[in-house]
Amino acid sequence: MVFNTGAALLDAIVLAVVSHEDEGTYGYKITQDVRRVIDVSESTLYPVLRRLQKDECLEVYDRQFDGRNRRYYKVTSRGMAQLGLYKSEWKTYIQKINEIFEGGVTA
Amino acid sequence: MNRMEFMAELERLLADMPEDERQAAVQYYADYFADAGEENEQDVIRELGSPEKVAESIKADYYGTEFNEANYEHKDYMEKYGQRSSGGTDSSRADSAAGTGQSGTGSKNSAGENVAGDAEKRKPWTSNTLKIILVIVIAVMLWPASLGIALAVLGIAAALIFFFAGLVIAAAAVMIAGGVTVIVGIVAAFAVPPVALVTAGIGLVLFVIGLIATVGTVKLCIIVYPAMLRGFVNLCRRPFYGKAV
Repeated sequence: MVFNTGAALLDAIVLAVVSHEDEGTYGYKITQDVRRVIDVSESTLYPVLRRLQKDECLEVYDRQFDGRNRRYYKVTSRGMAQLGLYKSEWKTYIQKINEIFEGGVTA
Repeated sequence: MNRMEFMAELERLLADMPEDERQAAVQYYADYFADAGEENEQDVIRELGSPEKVAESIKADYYGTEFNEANYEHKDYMEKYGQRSSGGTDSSRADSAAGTGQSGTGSKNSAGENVAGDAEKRKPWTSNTLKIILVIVIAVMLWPASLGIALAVLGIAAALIFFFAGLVIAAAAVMIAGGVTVIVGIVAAFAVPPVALVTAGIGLVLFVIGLIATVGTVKLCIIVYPAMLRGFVNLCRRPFYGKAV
């Protein structure tokens, strides 16, 4: 992909991916899901998840799986609000880009 | 390198971070390896790069310092990562996100200014290279003093190392002496039984005391040497990473 994925877009993608799972989801699965869409390295997501957690957009809990504790991430109500903001921002953004690409320069 | 070595190295590299930060990161990557499965272990390690790179990405975000991708093989890391690491606090990011939204509806000029402003803000006022140069300059100016201090530190370190090693050797010597006494006692048993019994008894006691002392001092060394090393390394690193908040 020739376009960069900036910090805010990466936050938005991670929030969206996590929000799809009602029961929450875990680091490896989040990474796989995000990598299906954009090409990020595997070490990129931990700092993003950690920060979203600190900003209270994500909450974590541990659940038993396969004889060990696995850490799950879940979107908080604050995270959902943030995701809503990102989505509406994104909509206006791609609309403008599309106008330029398809309809030439607009006033 | 296998997963165990990778995790041990990562944990070691994060040693100067606050406990909960380190634990969260270690748990995340331990989970990650476990979920990836043993058959993908090497793929994950290759993709993660090195423990150094992973540790640096964690610290860069935590301390808000610049993550220097040039040090790592992933040339396009920064591009993928976005400019997050030097972007400042989250509230300012949220502001800038909102600002971008407004400028999008405003004129093109203001959007251009925004971008330029952001670029200026992101420039760090200090860098590791600068610090290293400063350290060298100070070291050169204070050459005689710094040489003396360096030698003194080395001397103290060597003294400590040899002191503990000496304890081990002394304990081992007591143990060996005890063993020899036992043997002498047994040999003498054929000539003068009572004396031989006393000698062998004393030897046994000596041997046991020596054994306990040896085990004790070796354990002491195992605790003290790594601690000394870690303390020294932390001391050297402090100017570059700053104190943990």
